[in-house]
Amino acid sequence: MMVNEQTRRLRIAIVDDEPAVRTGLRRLCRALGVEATAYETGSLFLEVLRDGAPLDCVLLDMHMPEMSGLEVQRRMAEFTDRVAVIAITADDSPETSVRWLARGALACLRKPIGVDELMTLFASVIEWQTRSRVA
Amino acid sequence: MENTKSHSQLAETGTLPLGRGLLSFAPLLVAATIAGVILRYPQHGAAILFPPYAALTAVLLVTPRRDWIVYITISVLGHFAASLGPWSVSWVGLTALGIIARACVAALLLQALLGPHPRLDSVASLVRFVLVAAIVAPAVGATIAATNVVLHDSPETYTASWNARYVSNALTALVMLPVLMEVTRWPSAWKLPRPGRRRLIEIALFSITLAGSCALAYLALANKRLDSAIAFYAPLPVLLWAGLRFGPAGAGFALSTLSIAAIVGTWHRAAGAPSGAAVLRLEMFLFLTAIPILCVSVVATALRDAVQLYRALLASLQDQVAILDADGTVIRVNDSWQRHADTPSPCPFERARVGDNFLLCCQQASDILAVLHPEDRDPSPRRLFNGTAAVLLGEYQRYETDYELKHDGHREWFTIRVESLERADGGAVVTRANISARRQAQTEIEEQRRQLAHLGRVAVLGQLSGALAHELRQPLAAILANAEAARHMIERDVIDVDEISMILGDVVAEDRRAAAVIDGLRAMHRRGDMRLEANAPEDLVREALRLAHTEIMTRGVAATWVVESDLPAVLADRVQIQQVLLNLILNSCESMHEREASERSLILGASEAGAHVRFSVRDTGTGIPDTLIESLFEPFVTTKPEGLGLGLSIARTVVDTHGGRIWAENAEGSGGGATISFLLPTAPVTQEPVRLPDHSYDVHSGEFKVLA
Repeated sequence: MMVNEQTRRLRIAIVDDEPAVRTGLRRLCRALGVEATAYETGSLFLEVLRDGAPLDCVLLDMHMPEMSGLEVQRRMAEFTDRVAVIAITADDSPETSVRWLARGALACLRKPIGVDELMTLFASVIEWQTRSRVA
Repeated sequence: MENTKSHSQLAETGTLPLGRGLLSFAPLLVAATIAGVILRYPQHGAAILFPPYAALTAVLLVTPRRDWIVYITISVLGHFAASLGPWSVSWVGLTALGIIARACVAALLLQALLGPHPRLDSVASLVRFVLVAAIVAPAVGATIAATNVVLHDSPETYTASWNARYVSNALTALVMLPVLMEVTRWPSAWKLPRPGRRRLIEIALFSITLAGSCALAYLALANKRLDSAIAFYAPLPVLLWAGLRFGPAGAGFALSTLSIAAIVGTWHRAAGAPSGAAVLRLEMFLFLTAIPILCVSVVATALRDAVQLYRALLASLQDQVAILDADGTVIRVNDSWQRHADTPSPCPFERARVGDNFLLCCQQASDILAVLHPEDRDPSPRRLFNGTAAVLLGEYQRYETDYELKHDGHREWFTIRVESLERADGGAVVTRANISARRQAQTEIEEQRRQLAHLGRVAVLGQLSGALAHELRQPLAAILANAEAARHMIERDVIDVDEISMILGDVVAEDRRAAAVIDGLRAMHRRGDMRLEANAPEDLVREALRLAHTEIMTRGVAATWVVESDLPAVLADRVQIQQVLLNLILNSCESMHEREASERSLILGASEAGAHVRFSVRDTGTGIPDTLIESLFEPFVTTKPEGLGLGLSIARTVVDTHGGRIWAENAEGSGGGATISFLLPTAPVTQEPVRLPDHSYDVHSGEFKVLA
């Protein structure tokens, strides 16, 4: 799988309460040559984001005990629109993805997530960035 | 048609129609009146026997009271017709009044003391019969008759007249009433006894002997050259025969005929004018013979009835019955047992016949089985031997065991029960029944219950499928991400051995986690038998909450649990009880759908309740409609529009099979919501299986020993 320079410059955050999933996704991103950081809870991530961490995209788990993915997204929207939100879920129901997309998530991915999904995702993040820059 | 007729006859028993009654009883009453006149010694005011009293009493006993006036009238008319010649109207009228009073008092009191259809079938009934028919009623009659004598200026004194009438009526009651009570029953009887050939022969021989005895008694009394004492000893054998074999009616018949022979004999001996002493001797003889013979007849009849009843009962039982004495020897078996013992190859203890020792048969069977199936450590004959010995020794009141018999490829189930005999000599009753059909039905019910429970689990699985998918996707996500990362590293030749080792470690761990989720799923899905184990209530509650975690979270419900400390363990099938709890939790979550998120709360509780532990699931949902609260646990009753109504019915089946109870109640006050609670029995501290002590039986000394 070829990773182009544009993709290589992406900075990704992963927010998931499941340690195994979190670590796995971070490893995969790094193996693909993409800089990735992982956070256990939404509030940790929001703190880092508020401090001005340069990020292009966040993979946000929907179900988390302390603060749900939707809540994280809502709070993010209060101070930034430069970070693409990708919802990730282990949930089967189509309703939740519809709800996320309606709230402005760039995509909604169902676990498990492999290289193909991530590459498509990266491409759409770059496309989204280009579009918003043009706009 | 035959049947309809007998049935209507059966219904009519005791309500003899007047027409049929008159046809049968009018001749009897008239004949008795005539006999009353004939049997009278002219110079004695009273007859020695006075048949009208006995006949009228017997007729009144079997006819409806509204018809009594008819029979009484016939009797009185007969009396007038027979007596009016020599006596005045007032004399005959008062005598008739005496007859009516005696008969009515006797009939009313007998029915009051012995029921509407009095029978002499026990010593107690005989005592009451003597009290009423031979003491009270004759006293009433004698008082009226003696008054009559005084009123008509007869030479007799009141006392002498009273005594004579009293003795005559009492004798009549003892001698004639029993046989007349039997005879008058015939017209209204539903089914008359049909004597067999041997019985007919006996009746014929008896009749001949009775006729001979009567002739002897008559001759001994009538012929002055013979000792009159012969007349009093000679009838004893035939009277005993009558008493032992023909009941009170037969005894009464023999007594009546002998009495008549004696009365006539005495009459002829004295050429029509027997002395007072001769009459007294005759009366004393009749009195002293009648009471013991009646006693013998009643006791013999009661005994014969009891034996017949017990034989008929034994024979009618489909179950096989054998009665053992205190040593275990079979002393009687019923037809069913005998038939089975006669079939070619039952096992030795089933082949036990009268005279065999049942314990020995069990031991033989046990020895044979020990050779055939040495792996069976506690075979049924061994169990049966120990159980029977324990009952015979008085250690147990009853022992019961089931066993299986394989015969020509098909299996049959039997239950065998040994029950101690309540009698001084000890012993036991062994009852053996084929319970294959019952067992089959039980198995089917069990299977249906399992299918229902399985259906319930499938239904719960449907509800849980979202949660299960979630549980599986997590490890799958971790595995895929890790594996792809590793492959990518290898493809790009950036091989960090430590990193790859960690990745593989994570892959393995997550793979196992996925497998564990599937195992849990299989456990719920399995159509297993009940496995009762001691379970800590806290574990059950926590595990159920863990399984329902995703559902609870998705629905935004605040769930807590409250488990009392030091709760005893409950005896439960973990998977089944989890299914019940899970079902209750999911229902509660659904019922709170319409509440504000902040008001959705669920509390799981476990608390002590006597010999049980009470589990409860409380929510703040919409509650249960009052109309459903009673029927909530019945199948296909549901509050959910898309629900099948099986979950709670299965929950009840599960709780019932655990020996518990489940119920629902609505919360009082503004919060609303419902609580569903169920009880589970606590587990005994130790769960050692109960075992009978081993016994050994010494065939030679006939002694039991309890092996330690």
